[in-house]
Amino acid sequence: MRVRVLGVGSPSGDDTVGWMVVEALQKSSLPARLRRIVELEPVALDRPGMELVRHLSDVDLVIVVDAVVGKAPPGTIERIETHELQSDFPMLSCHGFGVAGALDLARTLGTYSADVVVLGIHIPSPRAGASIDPTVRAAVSRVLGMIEAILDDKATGNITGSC
Amino acid sequence: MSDREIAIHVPVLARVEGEGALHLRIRSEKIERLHLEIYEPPRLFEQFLIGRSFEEVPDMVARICGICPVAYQISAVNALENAMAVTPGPWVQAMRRALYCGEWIQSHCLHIHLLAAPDFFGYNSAMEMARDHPDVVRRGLFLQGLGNDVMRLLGARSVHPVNVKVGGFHSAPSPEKVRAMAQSLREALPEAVALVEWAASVQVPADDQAFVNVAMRHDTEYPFHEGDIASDNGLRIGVPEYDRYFAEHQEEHSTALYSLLNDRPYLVGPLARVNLNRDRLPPSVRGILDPLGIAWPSRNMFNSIVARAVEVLFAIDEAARLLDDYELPPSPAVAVAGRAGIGCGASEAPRGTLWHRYQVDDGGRIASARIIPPTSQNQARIEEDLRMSLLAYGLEHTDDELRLHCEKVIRNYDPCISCATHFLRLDTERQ
Repeated sequence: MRVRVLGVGSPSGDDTVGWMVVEALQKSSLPARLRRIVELEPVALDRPGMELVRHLSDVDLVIVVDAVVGKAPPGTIERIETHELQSDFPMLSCHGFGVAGALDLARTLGTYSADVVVLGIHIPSPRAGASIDPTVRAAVSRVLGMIEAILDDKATGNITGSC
Repeated sequence: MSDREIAIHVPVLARVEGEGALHLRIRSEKIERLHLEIYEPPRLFEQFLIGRSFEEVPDMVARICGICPVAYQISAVNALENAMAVTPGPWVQAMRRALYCGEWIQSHCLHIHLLAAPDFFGYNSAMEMARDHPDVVRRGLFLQGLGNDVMRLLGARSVHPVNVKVGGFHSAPSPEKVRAMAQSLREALPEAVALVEWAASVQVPADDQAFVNVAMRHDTEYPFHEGDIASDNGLRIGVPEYDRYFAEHQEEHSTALYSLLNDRPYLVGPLARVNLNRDRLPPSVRGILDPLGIAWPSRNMFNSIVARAVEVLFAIDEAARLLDDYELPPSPAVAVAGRAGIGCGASEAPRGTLWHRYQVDDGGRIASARIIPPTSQNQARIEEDLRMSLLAYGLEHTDDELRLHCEKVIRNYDPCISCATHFLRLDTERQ
């Protein structure tokens, strides 16, 4: 089973968290039960825009990890179904092409058949700079745990992510 | 004569970069008022640069635009190297050219497929077009991804690359990675040829206008970041002479400055480049371009889509050629010590000529900065084009048809309003 984890982020403060998850995955290894059946490819992306479309093909499962801003406390990890994402279309500017728009376009073009799961990590209001909120940093290991759970679900055919 | 009074206001222009609006008033079949209003707030980048080290400039100016950061970096390093008498050498210049190819490929493919093409097929959005023409959009995305790959190879990442420095590059990619990239580029050439042929087959409105074309001009190469500045009305000047010939002024309705050459609007961008530099395209590209049945130089702005497609083909071919010759250099940059000086630099951004001027002090800090992006240069031309194009199209059309036609005209220029609004003077008074 081929699985790609796409950590979306930037070097700015808490928005780095998608990359931190990718880095943590690169440094760790999956439990033996998953290693036997999962070929994991962690990829760090810098606000991919339309580039996200091509990262959705040639695998069985895509897990997108991105920072989100919402009402939940910082550090909360939210599993978001793709249909819950608000699409950017009609697009006013290419500067604003986001994850939802890319998923919509890829679906329309039929360029992906993978299951897609989005994990949003709540961060405080976005700010530039190097400091990362401790709650956000602490969420990284829990995201890894959730990814393992998702892989177990996928391996047993219980995945609920939609394409 | 009709007494019909038409007032068209497009409060937010869609499928352009940044925030702009259009106001048009027609009375008795005459255009009374036509304003392209750029209301995006000024971004003041030039002021941000004051007092910063010259070494910080390439990464700071890259943030002006997420679509064309390389253009800002290359014009900046050109200007700063000019100011501090730095000669980076042929390896650096070749790799800057290759990096620039990547940016043209990704930016042009984005514009062709997501912004411009839906207009010509009667769709409101790229998404609608993708449903009916998935192969066209898929090819566009594939080629755009290739451009991003080139930017990532040489710029370390595709959005706001971080590998460009005054004097060269921070690092050089491995020959293995470069060879693989060159091969991918070569393999994509048939797709790029198909893109050009498809773009030429798109039915665009007939529109014949007289306008002045301005672009960089090199003695032997199709221009990216080396050469002079030229026009098709006889101008050929060195880059430092730019502001002796091109005059900026402010219009009340826009937060971007207007620019005129001899008191007239002029065009920069892909159509102007192809019009002026067709003879600098390699035979392999000319062999595709010439049989298309388009008379060059073209006076129809709607042929911009073909010009962009031709430049995608050229950039893929050129990047492959440059990377084929790649060798790991002893050092990817020459050493640069900050010293006082004034320098100018230009390059051909995807949207046209981008000119920078910096004054550097004894400590290598920026004392003054001036940046003139292509969209501000095209602003007056867009308004002139709208007037001509509307009259040619016919003012008897319905309001909705006139509005759509205006939007099509504006989108031809691929205006990057976000780029254009960062140099508003602070002493502007408004009431």
